[in-house]
Amino acid sequence: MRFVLALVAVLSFAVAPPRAWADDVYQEPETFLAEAFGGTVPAPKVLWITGELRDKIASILGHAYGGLRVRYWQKGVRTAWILEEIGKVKPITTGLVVEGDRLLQLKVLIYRESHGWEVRHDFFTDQFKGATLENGMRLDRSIDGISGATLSVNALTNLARTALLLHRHVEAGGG
Amino acid sequence: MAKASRPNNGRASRVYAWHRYLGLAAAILIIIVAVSGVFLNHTERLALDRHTVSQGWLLARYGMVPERPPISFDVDGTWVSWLEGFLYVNGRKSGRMPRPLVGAARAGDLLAAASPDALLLVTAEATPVERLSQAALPGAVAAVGRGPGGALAIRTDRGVFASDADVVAWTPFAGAVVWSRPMPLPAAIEERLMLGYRGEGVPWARVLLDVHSGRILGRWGPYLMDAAAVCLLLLAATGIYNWLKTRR
Repeated sequence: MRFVLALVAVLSFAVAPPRAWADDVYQEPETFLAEAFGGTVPAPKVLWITGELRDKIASILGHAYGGLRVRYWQKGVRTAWILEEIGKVKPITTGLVVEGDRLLQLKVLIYRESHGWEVRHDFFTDQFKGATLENGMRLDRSIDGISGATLSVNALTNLARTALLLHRHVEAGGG
Repeated sequence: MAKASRPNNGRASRVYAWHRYLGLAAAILIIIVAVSGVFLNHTERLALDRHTVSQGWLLARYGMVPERPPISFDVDGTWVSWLEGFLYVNGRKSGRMPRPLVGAARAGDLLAAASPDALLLVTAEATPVERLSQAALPGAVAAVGRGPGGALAIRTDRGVFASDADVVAWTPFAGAVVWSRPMPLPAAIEERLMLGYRGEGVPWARVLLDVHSGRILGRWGPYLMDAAAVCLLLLAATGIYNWLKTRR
Protein backbone atom coordinates (compact mmCIF):
# COMPACT_ATOMS: atom_id res chain seq x y z
CA MET A 1 0.00 0.00 0.00
CA ARG A 2 2.82 2.43 0.85
CA PHE A 3 4.50 1.56 -2.38
CA VAL A 4 1.31 2.42 -4.27
CA LEU A 5 0.98 5.76 -2.49
CA ALA A 6 4.63 6.57 -3.19
CA LEU A 7 4.16 5.67 -6.83
CA VAL A 8 1.10 7.88 -7.08
CA ALA A 9 3.02 10.74 -5.46
CA VAL A 10 5.90 10.38 -7.90
CA LEU A 11 3.60 10.15 -10.90
CA SER A 12 1.60 13.17 -9.76
CA PHE A 13 4.78 15.25 -9.94
CA ALA A 14 5.47 13.87 -13.38
CA VAL A 15 2.07 14.73 -14.80
CA ALA A 16 1.38 17.88 -12.79
CA PRO A 17 0.84 20.93 -14.97
CA PRO A 18 3.79 23.29 -15.15
CA ARG A 19 3.71 26.28 -12.83
CA ALA A 20 2.49 29.44 -14.50
CA TRP A 21 5.50 31.58 -13.62
CA ALA A 22 4.53 35.05 -12.41
CA ASP A 23 6.87 38.04 -12.45
CA ASP A 24 9.15 38.27 -9.43
CA VAL A 25 9.24 41.94 -8.48
CA TYR A 26 12.26 42.47 -6.26
CA GLN A 27 11.97 46.24 -6.20
CA GLU A 28 9.48 48.64 -7.73
CA PRO A 29 11.12 50.91 -10.31
CA GLU A 30 9.83 54.01 -8.49
CA THR A 31 11.50 52.84 -5.27
CA PHE A 32 14.73 52.16 -7.12
CA LEU A 33 14.76 55.68 -8.55
CA ALA A 34 13.96 57.22 -5.18
CA GLU A 35 16.89 55.37 -3.62
CA ALA A 36 19.17 56.35 -6.49
CA PHE A 37 18.49 60.06 -5.99
CA GLY A 38 18.11 60.28 -2.25
CA GLY A 39 14.32 60.52 -2.33
CA THR A 40 14.00 63.35 -4.86
CA VAL A 41 13.62 61.86 -8.32
CA PRO A 42 14.43 64.36 -11.09
CA ALA A 43 12.19 64.78 -14.10
CA PRO A 44 12.81 62.15 -16.75
CA LYS A 45 14.62 62.90 -19.99
CA VAL A 46 14.82 61.01 -23.25
CA LEU A 47 17.83 60.10 -25.33
CA TRP A 48 17.32 59.27 -29.00
CA ILE A 49 19.16 56.14 -30.09
CA THR A 50 20.36 56.98 -33.56
CA GLY A 51 23.39 56.73 -35.79
CA GLU A 52 26.64 55.61 -34.21
CA LEU A 53 25.09 55.20 -30.79
CA ARG A 54 22.55 52.78 -32.21
CA ASP A 55 25.30 50.79 -33.90
CA LYS A 56 27.35 50.61 -30.71
CA ILE A 57 24.42 49.42 -28.64
CA ALA A 58 23.61 46.80 -31.26
CA SER A 59 27.23 45.67 -31.08
CA ILE A 60 26.97 45.29 -27.29
CA LEU A 61 23.59 43.59 -27.18
CA GLY A 62 24.03 41.49 -30.28
CA HIS A 63 20.79 42.87 -31.70
CA ALA A 64 19.20 46.21 -32.45
CA TYR A 65 17.94 48.17 -29.47
CA GLY A 66 14.17 47.68 -29.19
CA GLY A 67 13.21 51.31 -29.60
CA LEU A 68 14.22 54.66 -31.01
CA ARG A 69 14.69 56.40 -27.67
CA VAL A 70 15.41 55.57 -24.03
CA ARG A 71 14.31 57.32 -20.87
CA TYR A 72 16.71 58.28 -18.13
CA TRP A 73 16.91 60.35 -15.00
CA GLN A 74 19.80 62.70 -14.26
CA LYS A 75 20.94 64.78 -11.32
CA GLY A 76 24.35 66.36 -11.71
CA VAL A 77 26.83 63.75 -12.88
CA ARG A 78 24.62 60.87 -11.83
CA THR A 79 22.26 59.13 -14.21
CA ALA A 80 19.82 56.30 -13.63
CA TRP A 81 18.53 53.93 -16.26
CA ILE A 82 15.87 51.26 -16.24
CA LEU A 83 16.68 48.88 -19.05
CA GLU A 84 15.42 45.47 -20.12
CA GLU A 85 17.18 42.61 -21.85
CA ILE A 86 16.01 39.11 -22.53
CA GLY A 87 17.73 36.39 -20.52
CA LYS A 88 16.52 33.18 -22.07
CA VAL A 89 13.01 34.02 -23.28
CA LYS A 90 11.72 36.88 -21.10
CA PRO A 91 13.07 40.33 -20.30
CA ILE A 92 14.89 41.14 -17.08
CA THR A 93 14.01 44.65 -15.87
CA THR A 94 17.18 46.15 -14.43
CA GLY A 95 17.94 49.41 -12.70
CA LEU A 96 21.41 50.94 -13.21
CA VAL A 97 23.01 54.00 -11.66
CA VAL A 98 26.08 55.57 -13.23
CA GLU A 99 28.17 58.37 -11.85
CA GLY A 100 31.50 59.76 -13.01
CA ASP A 101 31.73 57.13 -15.73
CA ARG A 102 31.48 54.27 -13.21
CA LEU A 103 28.60 52.00 -12.39
CA LEU A 104 27.38 52.71 -8.88
CA GLN A 105 24.67 50.13 -8.76
CA LEU A 106 23.06 47.39 -10.80
CA LYS A 107 19.86 45.95 -9.45
CA VAL A 108 17.49 43.37 -10.86
CA LEU A 109 14.05 44.90 -10.39
CA ILE A 110 11.77 42.37 -12.08
CA TYR A 111 12.67 38.79 -13.05
CA ARG A 112 10.27 36.77 -15.19
CA GLU A 113 11.84 33.39 -15.81
CA SER A 114 11.92 30.16 -13.88
CA HIS A 115 15.71 29.76 -14.03
CA GLY A 116 18.68 31.99 -13.50
CA TRP A 117 17.11 34.15 -10.80
CA GLU A 118 20.27 33.84 -8.73
CA VAL A 119 21.58 36.88 -10.63
CA ARG A 120 19.42 39.13 -8.51
CA HIS A 121 21.47 38.49 -5.39
CA ASP A 122 24.01 40.99 -4.11
CA PHE A 123 26.83 38.45 -4.31
CA PHE A 124 26.48 38.63 -8.09
CA THR A 125 25.41 42.24 -8.72
CA ASP A 126 28.08 43.67 -6.41
CA GLN A 127 30.64 42.61 -9.00
CA PHE A 128 29.46 45.49 -11.17
CA LYS A 129 30.06 48.22 -8.59
CA GLY A 130 32.73 50.57 -9.82
CA ALA A 131 32.84 49.01 -13.29
CA THR A 132 33.66 51.21 -16.24
CA LEU A 133 34.20 50.77 -19.94
CA GLU A 134 37.63 50.20 -21.39
CA ASN A 135 39.00 49.26 -24.80
CA GLY A 136 35.97 50.87 -26.32
CA MET A 137 32.98 49.08 -24.97
CA ARG A 138 34.16 46.24 -22.77
CA LEU A 139 33.92 46.23 -18.98
CA ASP A 140 37.15 46.77 -17.11
CA ARG A 141 36.71 43.50 -15.29
CA SER A 142 35.52 39.97 -15.81
CA ILE A 143 32.24 39.02 -14.20
CA ASP A 144 32.08 35.62 -12.53
CA GLY A 145 29.20 33.66 -13.93
CA ILE A 146 26.62 31.50 -12.16
CA SER A 147 26.15 27.90 -13.19
CA GLY A 148 22.77 27.52 -14.85
CA ALA A 149 22.30 31.26 -15.28
CA THR A 150 24.66 32.01 -18.13
CA LEU A 151 22.09 33.74 -20.31
CA SER A 152 20.94 35.96 -17.44
CA VAL A 153 24.54 36.78 -16.54
CA ASN A 154 25.25 37.74 -20.14
CA ALA A 155 22.10 39.86 -20.32
CA LEU A 156 23.01 41.84 -17.20
CA THR A 157 26.62 42.27 -18.31
CA ASN A 158 25.42 43.70 -21.61
CA LEU A 159 23.01 46.03 -19.83
CA ALA A 160 25.87 47.29 -17.65
CA ARG A 161 27.91 48.04 -20.75
CA THR A 162 24.92 49.70 -22.39
CA ALA A 163 24.17 51.92 -19.41
CA LEU A 164 27.81 53.04 -19.21
CA LEU A 165 27.80 53.81 -22.92
CA LEU A 166 24.56 55.77 -22.66
CA HIS A 167 25.86 57.71 -19.67
CA ARG A 168 29.03 58.55 -21.57
CA HIS A 169 26.91 59.77 -24.47
CA VAL A 170 24.80 61.95 -22.20
CA GLU A 171 27.86 63.42 -20.48
CA ALA A 172 29.36 64.20 -23.88
CA GLY A 173 26.35 66.35 -24.62
CA GLY A 174 24.46 63.87 -26.69
CA GLY A 175 21.47 63.79 -24.37
CA MET B 1 4.95 -26.43 -55.17
CA ALA B 2 2.08 -27.14 -52.80
CA LYS B 3 0.08 -24.13 -51.65
CA ALA B 4 1.07 -22.98 -48.17
CA SER B 5 -1.62 -23.85 -45.68
CA ARG B 6 -2.37 -23.00 -42.08
CA PRO B 7 -0.13 -25.06 -39.81
CA ASN B 8 -1.83 -27.46 -37.43
CA ASN B 9 1.01 -28.18 -35.00
CA GLY B 10 1.16 -26.36 -31.58
CA ARG B 11 3.90 -23.74 -31.86
CA ALA B 12 3.39 -23.01 -35.50
CA SER B 13 -0.30 -22.62 -34.86
CA ARG B 14 0.33 -20.10 -32.10
CA VAL B 15 2.75 -18.14 -34.27
CA TYR B 16 0.17 -18.10 -37.03
CA ALA B 17 -2.44 -16.79 -34.60
CA TRP B 18 -0.05 -14.08 -33.36
CA HIS B 19 0.70 -13.11 -36.91
CA ARG B 20 -3.00 -12.62 -37.54
CA TYR B 21 -3.64 -10.66 -34.35
CA LEU B 22 -0.61 -8.42 -34.85
CA GLY B 23 -1.74 -7.70 -38.35
CA LEU B 24 -5.22 -6.76 -37.24
CA ALA B 25 -3.99 -4.67 -34.33
CA ALA B 26 -1.45 -2.69 -36.28
CA ALA B 27 -3.25 -2.53 -39.62
CA ILE B 28 -4.58 1.00 -39.33
CA LEU B 29 -1.35 2.46 -38.02
CA ILE B 30 0.70 0.67 -40.66
CA ILE B 31 -1.60 1.96 -43.39
CA ILE B 32 -1.16 5.52 -42.04
CA VAL B 33 2.61 5.17 -41.95
CA ALA B 34 2.70 3.68 -45.45
CA VAL B 35 0.42 6.24 -47.08
CA SER B 36 2.06 9.24 -45.40
CA GLY B 37 5.46 7.85 -46.30
CA VAL B 38 4.52 7.65 -49.97
CA PHE B 39 3.34 11.26 -49.98
CA LEU B 40 6.48 12.39 -48.16
CA ASN B 41 8.61 10.73 -50.82
CA HIS B 42 7.05 13.09 -53.36
CA THR B 43 6.99 16.26 -51.29
CA GLU B 44 8.57 18.47 -53.94
CA ARG B 45 6.58 17.15 -56.86
CA LEU B 46 3.32 17.61 -54.96
CA ALA B 47 4.53 20.99 -53.60
CA LEU B 48 3.60 19.89 -50.11
CA ASP B 49 6.25 22.18 -48.65
CA ARG B 50 4.71 25.23 -50.33
CA HIS B 51 1.04 24.65 -49.72
CA THR B 52 -0.04 25.56 -46.21
CA VAL B 53 -2.86 24.40 -44.01
CA SER B 54 -6.02 26.47 -43.89
CA GLN B 55 -8.32 24.19 -41.89
CA GLY B 56 -9.12 25.80 -38.58
CA TRP B 57 -9.12 22.60 -36.52
CA LEU B 58 -5.68 21.67 -37.83
CA LEU B 59 -4.29 25.15 -37.23
CA ALA B 60 -5.67 24.94 -33.72
CA ARG B 61 -3.74 21.67 -33.26
CA TYR B 62 -0.57 23.63 -34.00
CA GLY B 63 -1.56 26.43 -31.67
CA MET B 64 -2.15 28.80 -34.56
CA VAL B 65 -5.64 29.85 -33.65
CA PRO B 66 -5.74 32.54 -30.99
CA GLU B 67 -7.79 31.88 -27.90
CA ARG B 68 -9.68 35.13 -28.37
CA PRO B 69 -9.97 37.70 -31.14
CA PRO B 70 -7.69 40.74 -31.33
CA ILE B 71 -8.44 43.81 -29.25
CA SER B 72 -8.35 46.80 -31.59
CA PHE B 73 -8.62 50.58 -31.49
CA ASP B 74 -9.13 52.93 -34.41
CA VAL B 75 -6.69 55.81 -34.03
CA ASP B 76 -7.64 58.31 -36.73
CA GLY B 77 -7.81 55.56 -39.35
CA THR B 78 -4.79 53.63 -38.08
CA TRP B 79 -5.69 50.37 -36.38
CA VAL B 80 -3.79 49.51 -33.23
CA SER B 81 -4.40 45.92 -32.13
CA TRP B 82 -3.28 43.47 -29.51
CA LEU B 83 -3.15 39.72 -29.90
CA GLU B 84 -1.57 37.22 -27.53
CA GLY B 85 1.27 39.31 -26.22
CA PHE B 86 2.05 41.52 -29.21
CA LEU B 87 1.03 44.92 -30.49
CA TYR B 88 0.07 45.33 -34.15
CA VAL B 89 -0.32 48.50 -36.20
CA ASN B 90 -2.59 48.07 -39.24
CA GLY B 91 -1.99 44.35 -38.90
CA ARG B 92 1.80 44.64 -38.82
CA LYS B 93 3.52 43.25 -35.72
CA SER B 94 5.19 45.97 -33.66
CA GLY B 95 6.35 45.44 -30.09
CA ARG B 96 5.90 43.00 -27.28
CA MET B 97 2.97 43.69 -24.94
CA PRO B 98 2.36 40.83 -22.51
CA ARG B 99 -0.91 42.19 -21.12
CA PRO B 100 -4.00 43.15 -23.14
CA LEU B 101 -4.44 46.56 -24.68
CA VAL B 102 -6.66 48.97 -22.73
CA GLY B 103 -6.52 51.90 -25.12
CA ALA B 104 -4.69 53.67 -27.89
CA ALA B 105 -4.49 57.26 -29.09
CA ARG B 106 -2.37 59.56 -31.14
CA ALA B 107 0.53 61.33 -29.44
CA GLY B 108 1.78 63.90 -31.92
CA ASP B 109 3.31 61.99 -34.80
CA LEU B 110 3.36 58.80 -32.78
CA LEU B 111 0.79 56.28 -31.59
CA ALA B 112 0.45 55.51 -27.90
CA ALA B 113 -0.89 52.08 -26.94
CA ALA B 114 -1.24 51.08 -23.32
CA SER B 115 -1.74 47.96 -21.23
CA PRO B 116 -2.13 48.22 -17.46
CA ASP B 117 1.62 48.12 -16.84
CA ALA B 118 3.16 49.66 -19.95
CA LEU B 119 2.65 52.23 -22.65
CA LEU B 120 4.22 51.73 -26.05
CA LEU B 121 5.03 54.59 -28.35
CA VAL B 122 5.21 53.41 -31.95
CA THR B 123 5.27 54.99 -35.38
CA ALA B 124 2.46 54.54 -37.89
CA GLU B 125 4.77 52.04 -39.60
CA ALA B 126 4.78 49.92 -36.42
CA THR B 127 8.38 50.81 -35.49
CA PRO B 128 8.76 50.78 -31.69
CA VAL B 129 9.93 54.13 -30.33
CA GLU B 130 9.83 53.67 -26.58
CA ARG B 131 8.34 51.36 -24.03
CA LEU B 132 7.21 53.26 -20.92
CA SER B 133 7.29 50.86 -18.01
CA GLN B 134 5.82 51.37 -14.56
CA ALA B 135 8.60 53.76 -13.58
CA ALA B 136 7.58 56.14 -16.34
CA LEU B 137 3.81 55.98 -15.76
CA PRO B 138 1.71 57.56 -13.00
CA GLY B 139 -0.06 54.35 -12.06
CA ALA B 140 -1.65 51.30 -13.64
CA VAL B 141 -3.30 52.37 -16.90
CA ALA B 142 -7.01 51.70 -17.39
CA ALA B 143 -7.81 53.89 -20.40
CA VAL B 144 -6.16 56.05 -23.04
CA GLY B 145 -7.62 59.10 -24.71
CA ARG B 146 -7.10 62.62 -25.95
CA GLY B 147 -7.81 65.87 -24.22
CA PRO B 148 -8.44 69.30 -25.71
CA GLY B 149 -5.75 70.25 -28.19
CA GLY B 150 -4.91 66.63 -28.78
CA ALA B 151 -2.97 66.06 -25.57
CA LEU B 152 -2.44 62.39 -24.77
CA ALA B 153 -4.30 61.42 -21.62
CA ILE B 154 -4.38 58.27 -19.53
CA ARG B 155 -6.64 57.17 -16.71
CA THR B 156 -4.82 55.28 -14.01
CA ASP B 157 -5.52 54.02 -10.52
CA ARG B 158 -4.13 57.35 -9.27
CA GLY B 159 -6.28 59.60 -11.44
CA VAL B 160 -6.26 61.15 -14.89
CA PHE B 161 -2.99 62.46 -16.31
CA ALA B 162 -1.99 64.23 -19.49
CA SER B 163 1.44 64.05 -21.05
CA ASP B 164 3.55 66.78 -22.54
CA ALA B 165 4.04 66.94 -26.28
CA ASP B 166 7.00 64.53 -26.18
CA VAL B 167 5.32 62.07 -23.80
CA VAL B 168 8.07 62.50 -21.25
CA ALA B 169 6.28 63.96 -18.24
CA TRP B 170 2.77 63.48 -16.87
CA THR B 171 0.68 66.01 -15.01
CA PRO B 172 -2.72 65.60 -13.35
CA PHE B 173 -5.53 66.54 -15.72
CA ALA B 174 -9.07 67.60 -14.95
CA GLY B 175 -10.39 68.51 -18.40
CA ALA B 176 -12.63 66.59 -20.76
CA VAL B 177 -11.10 63.53 -22.38
CA VAL B 178 -12.36 61.46 -25.28
CA TRP B 179 -11.47 57.94 -24.24
CA SER B 180 -10.63 55.35 -26.87
CA ARG B 181 -12.90 52.33 -27.18
CA PRO B 182 -12.22 48.91 -28.73
CA MET B 183 -13.81 48.27 -32.08
CA PRO B 184 -14.01 45.34 -34.51
CA LEU B 185 -11.08 45.14 -36.86
CA PRO B 186 -11.76 45.52 -40.61
CA ALA B 187 -11.51 42.18 -42.38
CA ALA B 188 -8.54 43.10 -44.57
CA ILE B 189 -6.47 44.26 -41.61
CA GLU B 190 -7.46 41.27 -39.52
CA GLU B 191 -6.32 39.00 -42.34
CA ARG B 192 -2.95 40.73 -42.43
CA LEU B 193 -2.71 40.51 -38.65
CA MET B 194 -3.44 36.78 -38.67
CA LEU B 195 -0.77 36.26 -41.32
CA GLY B 196 1.69 38.01 -39.06
CA TYR B 197 0.45 35.99 -36.08
CA ARG B 198 0.87 32.66 -37.86
CA GLY B 199 4.10 33.49 -39.64
CA GLU B 200 4.74 31.29 -42.67
CA GLY B 201 1.91 28.99 -41.66
CA VAL B 202 2.07 25.19 -41.46
CA PRO B 203 3.04 23.44 -44.72
CA TRP B 204 1.30 20.19 -45.53
CA ALA B 205 4.68 18.48 -45.56
CA ARG B 206 5.02 19.26 -41.88
CA VAL B 207 1.59 17.85 -41.14
CA LEU B 208 2.41 14.65 -43.01
CA LEU B 209 5.68 14.31 -41.14
CA ASP B 210 3.84 14.64 -37.87
CA VAL B 211 1.25 12.08 -38.96
CA HIS B 212 4.00 9.72 -40.11
CA SER B 213 5.85 10.01 -36.81
CA GLY B 214 2.77 10.06 -34.61
CA ARG B 215 3.57 13.50 -33.20
CA ILE B 216 0.19 14.74 -34.40
CA LEU B 217 -1.33 12.66 -31.61
CA GLY B 218 0.61 14.45 -28.90
CA ARG B 219 3.25 13.29 -26.47
CA TRP B 220 2.40 9.58 -26.67
CA GLY B 221 1.89 9.50 -30.45
CA PRO B 222 5.49 8.61 -31.31
CA TYR B 223 5.38 5.71 -28.86
CA LEU B 224 2.24 4.44 -30.61
CA MET B 225 4.07 4.54 -33.94
CA ASP B 226 7.03 2.82 -32.31
CA ALA B 227 4.65 0.07 -31.25
CA ALA B 228 3.33 -0.18 -34.82
CA ALA B 229 6.90 -0.46 -36.09
CA VAL B 230 7.60 -3.25 -33.60
CA CYS B 231 4.40 -4.97 -34.74
CA LEU B 232 5.58 -4.72 -38.33
CA LEU B 233 8.89 -6.33 -37.40
CA LEU B 234 7.09 -9.11 -35.59
CA LEU B 235 4.74 -9.55 -38.53
CA ALA B 236 7.73 -9.96 -40.81
CA ALA B 237 9.33 -12.44 -38.43
CA THR B 238 6.17 -14.47 -37.88
CA GLY B 239 5.36 -14.34 -41.56
CA ILE B 240 8.74 -15.75 -42.50
CA TYR B 241 8.43 -18.37 -39.78
CA ASN B 242 4.99 -19.41 -41.02
CA TRP B 243 6.19 -19.59 -44.60
CA LEU B 244 9.14 -21.76 -43.64
CA LYS B 245 6.96 -24.05 -41.58
CA THR B 246 4.20 -24.54 -44.06
CA ARG B 247 6.03 -24.80 -47.38
CA ARG B 248 6.57 -28.24 -48.70
